[in-house]
This record gives sequence, structure tokens and C-alpha cells, in this order.
Amino acid sequence: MPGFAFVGKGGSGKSTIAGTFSRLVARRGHDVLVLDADHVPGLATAVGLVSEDTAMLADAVTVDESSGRPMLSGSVEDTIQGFARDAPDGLRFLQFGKLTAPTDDDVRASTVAFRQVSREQTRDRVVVTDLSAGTRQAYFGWAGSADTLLTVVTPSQKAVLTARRLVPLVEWLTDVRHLVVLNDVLDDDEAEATERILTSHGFEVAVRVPHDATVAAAARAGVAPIDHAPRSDFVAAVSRLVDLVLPDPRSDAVVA
Amino acid sequence: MKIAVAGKGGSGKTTVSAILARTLAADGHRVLAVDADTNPNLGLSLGLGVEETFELIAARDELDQEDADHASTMAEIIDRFSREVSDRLRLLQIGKIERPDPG
Repeated sequence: MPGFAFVGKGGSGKSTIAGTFSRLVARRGHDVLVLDADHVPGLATAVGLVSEDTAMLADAVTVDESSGRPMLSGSVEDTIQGFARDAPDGLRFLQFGKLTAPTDDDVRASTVAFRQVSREQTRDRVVVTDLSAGTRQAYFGWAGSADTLLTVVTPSQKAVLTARRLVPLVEWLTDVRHLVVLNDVLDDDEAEATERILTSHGFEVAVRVPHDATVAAAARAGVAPIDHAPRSDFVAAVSRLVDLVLPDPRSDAVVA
Repeated sequence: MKIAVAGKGGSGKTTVSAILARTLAADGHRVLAVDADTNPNLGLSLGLGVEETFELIAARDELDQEDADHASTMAEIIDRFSREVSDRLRLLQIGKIERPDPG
């Protein structure tokens, strides 16, 4: 089943788009597992959950006696059952765990658990992973389950520079499809200028998501954009992205 | 004086850092602006161009290859790796990650 990973500069709208994307994929009839690799909150709200600190996945990990290496104490499915939260539209939402005062061992154990779940989950699900902002997690293998990498870019020099820094990664991941989502676009001129630069660096822009005041309004209200303004231009654009990357809804889907 | 700027991505950390750095330098202080971000954009905010910011070498990779006997002092690191932005302001980029880690 397909896996999608969202990357990009902080503040580009990565988590907001990833969360909305996940809800829309679920409405096409798929089982969706959302993996929140970001230490910073944002995805939970975008998915329609009240953000809360959940138990760190470190609790799911023990040290294997023979190898001395940390690994999940139960099966991947048991771990998802035990640690994932239920979200709207039937989503299952698994957080790496927000860091308040963790020890190095906590972080290492949570990392092992998260990556094992990401790589070994076998059920018939679409997996959507939201990586933390920037390049670090992408380069350290956190998008392991993805066959499509979606880089969210806004029309700014910094966001484009961030995308350029991911070029070696894209070239290295030869089996992974790479698409750019151009977000927060004010007008066509700006979009075209940014797309020209992105294309010159070998990127393919899949969709333009317009600047939409309802997104900021939803954030201020602490509500998911898809719940706050379901018929907004923003949601419509993310819906076009879903149609593009996942063209076949499940036959028993109820399309909202 | 050491000032650390932290916060959520997109909150304006880099922009605020750059303004602080340039204001303090303009006030007569010697300033070392350190970009510890693995995705470093402080150069842009300080007024360097896109290509120049993109090409800045991260001290991290070079230092990783040093052994203990030949470890650089702080002064040497600043000398070798920082870039002069103005009279009293230098930029040191230390954390850039731009290669896959197979681990």
C-alpha cells in the first residue's frame, strides 16, 4: 500500500497539508495510519485531534537480551493498537512523542520504535508520515516507508533553498516518486516565478495551494482546516493533490 | 553575551536572529552569528545571496574528520569557517545536513 512522506521548511504548511491530506485519503475509503515524526505540535490539530502529550513510544521498547539492541517488545500491530490514537474519519494517529524532559535513552528508544513501525507495518493501509521541519529527519531515514515524497514549498527564497538541499536525498531514493506542493500562493505571477526556479532544479510541481485566510483562522481556533472550512480553496487544492497521487478510491468508499 | 534563539519552524527565528545580529553590530559590538540549523538560512536573512548561502560550507563535516590531536581551537574554527558579513559581523554555519545517512 502507498506511503507518503511530507517534508519541507518549517512554517511552509507541511503539517497542515499532511493532516488535511490524511483526512481526505480516509474519505476515499482507505485505512490511514498517520505517523507524526515532528517534535513540534501541529499535525494533531490539522488532523482534527486536540493536541496532547501522549506516552512516548519509548515505553513500547525493550532491550533484546542476545543482541543488546533496543526493539519493540510486542508486534508492530500491537504497538499501533496500544499507542495510536483514534482520529476523525477512522484515522489512526501515532506520535513519536513530544519531548518535554526526555533522557537520551528515551529518545533513542522512541526512535527505534517509530522507525520499526514505519518500516514493518504490513496491513492494508495508506501510511502518511509528517517529518519535522528541515532536512535532518529526511536524511536520517525517517521517511523509510514512503514511496512518494512530497516537499511543501512556499514562494520564498528560504523554502526553495530548503527544497534544493533535499535534491541529493531525492537522487539517492531512486524508487521514491518526488513531487512538490507549492503552498500559500498569492497570485499566478508569484507561482510561475517560483515554479520556474523549482523546475530548473529538477522538481515537478504537482499542485498549487492558494493562500487561504481560513487556514490561519482554523489554526487560531485550534480546529482542523477540513472541519473549520470544508469547502475552502485550501481543502479543494489538497483534494486535487489526493486525486493526483492516489487516483483509485476503494470501491466501497463513501466520498464526502 | 550569548543569545540563543529558539522556537517553532516558521515563527521567525531566523529573521529575528539576523535583525539582532545586524543591530548589535551596527551598535558597535563584535558579533558572531551562528547558524546551528541543519537547514541553515541565516545567510539569506543577513543579506547574503541565495547561491552564496547555498554554497556556505558547514564546519561540522570538516571537523568530523579531525582527530583529537589535531582538533581545532574555537578561534581556528571561526577563522577557517566563518564568513565576514560586515565590519563587525561574521557568520558561522555549523549544522548543515545535505547528504543521506544510510544508518
